[in-house]
Amino acid sequence: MLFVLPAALLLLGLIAYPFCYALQLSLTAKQAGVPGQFVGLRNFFDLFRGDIFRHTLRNSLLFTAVAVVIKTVLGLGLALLLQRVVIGRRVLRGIILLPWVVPSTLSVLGWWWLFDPLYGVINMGLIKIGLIHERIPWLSDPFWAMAAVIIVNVWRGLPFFAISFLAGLVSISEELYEAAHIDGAGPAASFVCITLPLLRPVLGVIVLYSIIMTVSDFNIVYILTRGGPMHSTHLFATFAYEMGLASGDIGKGAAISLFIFPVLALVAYCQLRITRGQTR
Amino acid sequence: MKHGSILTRQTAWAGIALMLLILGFSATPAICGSPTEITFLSQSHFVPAWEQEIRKQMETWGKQKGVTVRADFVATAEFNAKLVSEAETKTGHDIVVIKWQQPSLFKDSLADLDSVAKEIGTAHGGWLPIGQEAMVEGVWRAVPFYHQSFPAVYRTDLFREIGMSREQVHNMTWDQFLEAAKKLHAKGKPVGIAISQTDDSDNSLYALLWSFGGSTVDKTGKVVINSPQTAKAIEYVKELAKYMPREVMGWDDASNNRLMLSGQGSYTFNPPSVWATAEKDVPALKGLLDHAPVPAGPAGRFRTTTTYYLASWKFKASPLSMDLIRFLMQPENYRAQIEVAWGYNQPFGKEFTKLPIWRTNAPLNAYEPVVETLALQGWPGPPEKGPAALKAWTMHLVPVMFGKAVTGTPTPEAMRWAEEELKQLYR
Repeated sequence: MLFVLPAALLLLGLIAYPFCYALQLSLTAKQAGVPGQFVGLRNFFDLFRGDIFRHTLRNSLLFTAVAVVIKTVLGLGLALLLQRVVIGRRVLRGIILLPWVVPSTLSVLGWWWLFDPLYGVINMGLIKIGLIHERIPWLSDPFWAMAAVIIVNVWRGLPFFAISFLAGLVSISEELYEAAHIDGAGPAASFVCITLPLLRPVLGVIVLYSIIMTVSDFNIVYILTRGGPMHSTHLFATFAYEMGLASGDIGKGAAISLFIFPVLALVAYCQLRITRGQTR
Repeated sequence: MKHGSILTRQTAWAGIALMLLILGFSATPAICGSPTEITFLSQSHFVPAWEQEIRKQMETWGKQKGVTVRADFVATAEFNAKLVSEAETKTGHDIVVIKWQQPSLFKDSLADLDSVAKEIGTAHGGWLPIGQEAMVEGVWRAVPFYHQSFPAVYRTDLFREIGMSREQVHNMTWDQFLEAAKKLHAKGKPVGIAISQTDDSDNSLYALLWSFGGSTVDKTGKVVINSPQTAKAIEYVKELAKYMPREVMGWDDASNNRLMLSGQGSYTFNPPSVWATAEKDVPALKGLLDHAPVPAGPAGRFRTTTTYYLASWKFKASPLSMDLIRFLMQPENYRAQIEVAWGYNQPFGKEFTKLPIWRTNAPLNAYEPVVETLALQGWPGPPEKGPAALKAWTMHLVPVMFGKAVTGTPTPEAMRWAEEELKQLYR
């Protein structure tokens, strides 16, 4: 009992207390520096009435769904490729991790320069090789701005997916593939009937983790677009920052940040149930 | 086994003791404070020499009083969040530089500076009307420090090439500006006004909106954005946007600077940072930039400004911090601050608007004195609606309204959207 006390204190102090305090704030009309009166669920209803919040909700769902699907597919592909590399395997696996380990602020600033309309290398490079004839308005068009933030999120998250899937792949016994080959199964059939089912527990946990981290992303959108243009890339975290910290409406800011909690809790519950069921 | 379990208990107790020790050390300064240090917080200044001057003046004062001083300068984008966290946690700096309607927003957290502000106002020849935002419910909650307004900055050579003299540019209407924009676009040197979620965009578009007779609210604080005057302003911007780079829809505060300093832009709205940087670091543009008043519309000529005030939190106010405020605002110190900032800081004190720096330096002639009607976001609404005006600004509702119309939303729908969002803030 005593042995878990430090961890319990940390959990209480750094997770439980801030969560409960945020919950309390979301039920008040608290402004910066002023005690807030209790208003019940009014903040949540007011947010839903506002177009910017509804837009933020759509953005968050779209951003999360597209980014997680791309990371899953590409991550699996990259893991399969990494499994086959023999020469320089350790070095390559280390290099693959770089986007994930480099501090996000630094890497996203780099991407911001790459997307720059005047000096950005991406547009200059694409025009040079003849793929495009006009500069892509990466950060000034709602569609391209969402594409830009998704690209950066995928670039950052892909190594984590790849390495995690690789760990799952190497744990699958080679004998299963040999037996399938003897029975006449080709690569596609082996992948569908052996690799995917045995990788499902890892897939479940990784996708769940990524959904939670992606929907709560802040750095990428804050640095690249600040939620613009015209609120087309605002996520819960950036809108909560704008409302709560930049504007001083702390009650509403807390309500925005807590809004997705029930949804994520449900996703986590379902995902873990499916994963546990398959493990059994 | 028994030996192993004793070690485990000892380890656990050691861990708890270490945690408490760390918590104690980090909490001690907050609990005990540092009574011989006075701290100052401000947004980063575009002219680094001003920050050095402030530090120098604070050190001079500190030596006189036997007090250590520390000045912290925070990036503009994060400054509001820093102030909110200080107000909320009731810990922070002794003196903070707040802006816009923040005296209203933080009125319950700010110390009473009534006597200090009146005393300094008298010494400075009286405060300009724009400085009155620092007075909340009849009490000065902050001392007006300086403001930085948004005139136009333009390439004199390019405007000469399209047949416009300095006098013509300084007296332009928005219609004349549109004609100039078309010619400059044809030359490959477009004008650029941000239509995006950034403060520069609010600064530019609020002035345009007012000059067409539109506004977010009326004198009583009623939301009136949905009006024929606003519709005219929107239609104008839709037309103007055809002759500006597409990227203005995603600009940040530095983008218009980059457009001008790259030599590719011909006109934008900005305080003198573009001009100052060109004079120092861009030889190709040296001597080619000038400032001009904002173009005039049917309802007049307007200019926005960012107002900065010296304030102190109630939980940090002390006689020493009041004394430092007085010291920084002493005429000789204040003059030095203006001069070292290349005239970037505009004074609230009427006596200081007569300083020669803006008259002897031709590019600054139109920066100070301000010939347009100077106004803050929320104009002409009442002072008690200041916090709502501030929120409308930080959420960039006006630029987004213009942006929606420029990108295809019908004008009535764009205005209705802005009206709904503003009504939520102005309840």
